[in-house]
Amino acid sequence: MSSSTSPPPPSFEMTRGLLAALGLRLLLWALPDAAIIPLFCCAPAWLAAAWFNVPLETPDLAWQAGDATFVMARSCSGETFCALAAAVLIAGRRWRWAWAAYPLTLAVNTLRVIAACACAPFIEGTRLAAAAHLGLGILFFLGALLALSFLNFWRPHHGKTARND
Amino acid sequence: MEKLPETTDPVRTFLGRRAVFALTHLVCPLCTTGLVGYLIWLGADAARTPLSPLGLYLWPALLCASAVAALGTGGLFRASRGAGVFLLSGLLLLAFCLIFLFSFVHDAWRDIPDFAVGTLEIYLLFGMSLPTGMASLWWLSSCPIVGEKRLGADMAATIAAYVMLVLFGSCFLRLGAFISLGELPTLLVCVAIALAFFALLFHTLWLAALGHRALKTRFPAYGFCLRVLTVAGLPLLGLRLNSHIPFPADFQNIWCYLLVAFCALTLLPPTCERRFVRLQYFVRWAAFPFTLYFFLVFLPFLPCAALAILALGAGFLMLAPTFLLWTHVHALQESAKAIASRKTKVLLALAGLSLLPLAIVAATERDRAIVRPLVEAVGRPDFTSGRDALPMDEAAARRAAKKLFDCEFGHTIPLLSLYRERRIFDGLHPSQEVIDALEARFGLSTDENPSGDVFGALTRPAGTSRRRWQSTTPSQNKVAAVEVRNAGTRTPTLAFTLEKSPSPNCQFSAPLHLADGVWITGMRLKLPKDGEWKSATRRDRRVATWVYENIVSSSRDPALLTLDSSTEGRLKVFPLDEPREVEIDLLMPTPEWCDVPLVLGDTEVRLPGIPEPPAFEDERKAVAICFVGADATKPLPNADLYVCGGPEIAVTAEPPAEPPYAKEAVNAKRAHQFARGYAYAHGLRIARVDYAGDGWSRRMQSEAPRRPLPLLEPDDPWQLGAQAWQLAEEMGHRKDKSRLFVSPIRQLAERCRVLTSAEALIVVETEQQERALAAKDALSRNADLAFDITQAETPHATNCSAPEFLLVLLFALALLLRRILRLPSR
Repeated sequence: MSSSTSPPPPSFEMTRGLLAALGLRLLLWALPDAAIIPLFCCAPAWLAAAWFNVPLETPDLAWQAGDATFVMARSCSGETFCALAAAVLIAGRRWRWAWAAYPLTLAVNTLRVIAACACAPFIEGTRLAAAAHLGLGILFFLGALLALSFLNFWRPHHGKTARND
Repeated sequence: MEKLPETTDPVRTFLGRRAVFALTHLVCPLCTTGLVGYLIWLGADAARTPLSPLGLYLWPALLCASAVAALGTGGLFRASRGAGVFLLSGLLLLAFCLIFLFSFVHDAWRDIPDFAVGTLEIYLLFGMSLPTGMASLWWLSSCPIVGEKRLGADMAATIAAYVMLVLFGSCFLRLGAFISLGELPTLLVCVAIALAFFALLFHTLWLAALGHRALKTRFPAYGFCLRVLTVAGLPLLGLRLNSHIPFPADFQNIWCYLLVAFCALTLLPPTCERRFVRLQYFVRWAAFPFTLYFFLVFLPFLPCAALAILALGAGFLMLAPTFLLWTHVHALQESAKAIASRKTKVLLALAGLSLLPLAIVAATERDRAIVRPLVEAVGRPDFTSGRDALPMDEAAARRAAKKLFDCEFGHTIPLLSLYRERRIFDGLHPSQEVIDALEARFGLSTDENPSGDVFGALTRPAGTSRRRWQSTTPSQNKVAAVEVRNAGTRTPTLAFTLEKSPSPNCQFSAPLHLADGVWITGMRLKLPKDGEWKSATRRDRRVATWVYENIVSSSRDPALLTLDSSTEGRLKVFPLDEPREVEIDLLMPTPEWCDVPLVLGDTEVRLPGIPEPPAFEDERKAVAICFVGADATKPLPNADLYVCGGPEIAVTAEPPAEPPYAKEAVNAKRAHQFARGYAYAHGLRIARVDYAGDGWSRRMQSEAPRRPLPLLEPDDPWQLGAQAWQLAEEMGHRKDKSRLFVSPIRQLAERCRVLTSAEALIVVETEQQERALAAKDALSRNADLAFDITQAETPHATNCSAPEFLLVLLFALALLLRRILRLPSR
C-alpha cells in the first residue's frame, strides 16, 4: 500500500509550476495597458522618482535624471517575474502565499529600476549598454527567483533543501 | 579523474559523467585560451594603445598563462589530493582579469569592427573563463584545511555546469549565423552570467561562513572584534569613502556620524541581564530606523556589490549597511529575550521606533516655520515696515536662508530630502527672484559642494543648478510664406507657413517684432494629422512655457507665443517634420503703426492701412485711454477722469485713504519713494502715480484672496492702455455700475483678450495635455508668488498604486516586527 503522505515527485512539482507560470503569464498578457500599468508600473516609478528626488511626470510615468529621461512602460512591468514567482510558490505547495508574488514583484522591480537608473550614466553610449541593462534586470529578477526558490523548498526542521532530503 | 561525492541529485549525477565533466572543465578553458589568442590577433593592427609597447610582452604572457590554466585545470581534477590554495586563488584571479581585459579591449580599440568584438563574445569569454574559476573554488572547498563541502559548493558547481551548457548552446546558435533568433542568444548569455554570479556569491558566503566558524573557535575575542567592525568600523569607513565617492548620495553630515556613534554605543555593549535591560532595548530600537534607512538606501545596489568589490576593492563597504542590519536585528532579539512581558516589548519597540522619525518631523516643521515666512517676505516685500523689513531678526533670517539654500542647492539624500522639500515648500521651489534676493542679502552661495557630487548627474544635468532642467531642442527660423488676411481692418490675421526642417525633432523658434501699439489677440496652429486648426489659450507665462517644453520632450504638437515687451516676443512651433501653418491675430488701434513692419525671424510683413479713425486718441494725439468706473454707493472724492497708457499724464488721482485700501496706498507711496512706481486698480479705476527713475511696476490687489498678483512688465504702457480701453468699452455698455474690484489680472486679460508679457498663447494637441495645462494653471493661481510653480509635479492623471504598495510594505514590516517580538518568555 502506497503512502498517501509521500510528497509528489519533483517532475510533478515542476510541471505544476510551469503550468501555473504559463497560465498566469497568459492572464497578464491578456490584460490591457490600462490595467497593467497602474498595477505594476506606477509604484516602482513613483518610488524610483522619490528615491532620486525628482518629479514623476504622469501619465507617461517619466522622470528625468541628469541628461536622460526614463519612462516606465509596460515592458518594464515585471509581469513575467510575477508569474514565475507565483509559480515557484505554487510549485512548492505554498498556495496561500501565492499572493506574495505581487508585492515581491513591485519590490524587486523598484530595486531594479533604481539600480538601472543609477548605472545608466555609466553604460549609456557604450556598446554594452543594451546587454548591461538586460543583464542587470536578469540579475535582480533571477536572484529574487533563486532566493524565493531556496526559501520555498527550505524545511526548517531538516535544515536542508528538499533535494537533499 | 576524481570521483565526485555520492548524491541522489540526478542533475549532479549527469554532470558528474566523465564526458560532461571533461567538457565543462577542460574544453572550456581551452576555448578561453583560443579567445585570448583571437584578442591578440585583433589587437595586432591596433597597436596604438598605451599598452602597445608592453603588449609585446603582455599578450604572450597572458596567452601562456591562459594555456597553463586551461591545461592545469584538467590536471588538477586528476589529483588525488587538494591543490594549493594560492595556486587556485591565482587561477580565480586570472579568470576575472580576462573578463576586464576583454572589456578594456572592447572599449579601447574602437576601430575593431563590431562583428569581431561583439557583445556575445565578451560573455562567451566570461563564461568560458568562469569554469576555471569554478574549478578553483571547487577545489578550495574540497581542500582538507577548510573542511568538508557544503551546500554552497554544490550549488556553485552545479550552476557552473548549467552555465556551460547554456553558453555552448548560445555559441552554437551564434556560429550558425544562418539562424536568426533575435535577442535569444544574448538573453541566454545574460542568464548564464547571472547564474554564474550567484554561484560565486553563494560560494563566497560559504567560504566566509567557514572562516567565521574557524576563527570563532580559535579566538575568543573574535566575536567582539567582529561586532566592533560591523557596527562601527565598516560604517565609519563607508562614510569616509563616501566623502571621496558620494555614492549613492552625499552623506557627509554631522548627524550621520553622530548616529553611527549612537548606533555603535547601543549595539556594542553586551545585552544586559536584568538592570537597564528595558533601557537598552529602547535605545536599540531608537537606533533601528537609522540602520534600516541605510539598508534600504543601499538595497538596490546590493547585487552590484560583487562587481563593486572587483572594480574597487573598497566596494565591500557597500555591504556595511547589510551587515549592520544583521547585527542590529540579532541584538534586538537578544534584548527581547531578556524582557518577559510581551506588552512591554511592544510598547518599548514602538516608542523607540518613533523617536528618530519624530525628531525628523519636528526639525522639518521647525524649518518650515522659519523658511516660509522668510520666502514670503522676500517675495512680497511690505514697504510699510521698511524697505528691508523681515518677519524675524537678522540672525534667525540668516539661519533660515541658509537652510533654504541647503535645501535647494545642498546635498540630497534619498527619500528624506523628498519629504523635507515636500513639507517645507509643498513640492514647489523658491523663485529665482527670491533666491537672488537672499543671495544678495546674506551673501550665501549657490555653488555646489566643492568636493563634487560624482553621481549628481543622476538627478540633474552636469554643470546646472538642480532647479532647472535644460532642454536642448534644435531650432530654426525659416518662414516659407506669409499671408495677411482681413487686411485693411483693425483686426488683421497673419498666416505663416513655416519651412520643414531637414533634421528631426527640430522646432521653429524666431523672435517676433511688433510695432508699437500692435497687440496680439489670438493664435491658431494647424495640426498636421487631420488638418484641424487648434486655437491657442492664454495662460500664465511660466505655466505655458513649462508645458511647452515638456510636450516638446515627448514630440507632440505645441506652439507657444510669448511677449517680452510691448514690441518684442518669440514664436515657437514644434515639430517641423513637415511645413506648418500658424495664424496670429492682431489688434491695430490706429493706422499709424501700419507703416512699421512686423518681423518674424527674417521675414518682414507690412500691414495695409486702416481707413477707420482711431477710437481713443485724444486731442494731443497721445495714446491715452479715458476710463471711468465709479461705485455708485461710495463715490471717490477725486476726479472721475483717469488717464493711463500714455506718455503724458493728464490727471493724476490720490489713492483713497479709507481702509482696507489704506495700507496699499501707503505701500504705493513708499514704493514711489524707492523709485518704484505703483499703480493699483480699485473699482476699475486705474490711477497712475508719477513714475520716477527708469521703470515702474504695477500691482493689482484682489480681495479674495488678499494678496498681490503679478501685473504687466514696466515697459508696456500700451498694453495696459489696451486693457483699459477694452474695459472702458465694456463699462460704457454696462448699466449697473457696481464695483468690480476683485479682478485678478488673468480675468482682466481675458476680458481684454490681448496678450500680455505676463502670459503666453499656447496650443496643445491632446486632451491629456489640456488637463496638464489646466492643472498647472490652477496651481499657478493658488501658489504663492514666491514659489516657482514650474518645479512642481503635475497632478496625477491616472490611479497610482503607490499607496497600496505602501500598505503592503507596512503590512510586511508589521509581520517582521511581530516575528522579532514573538520570542519565548522566561
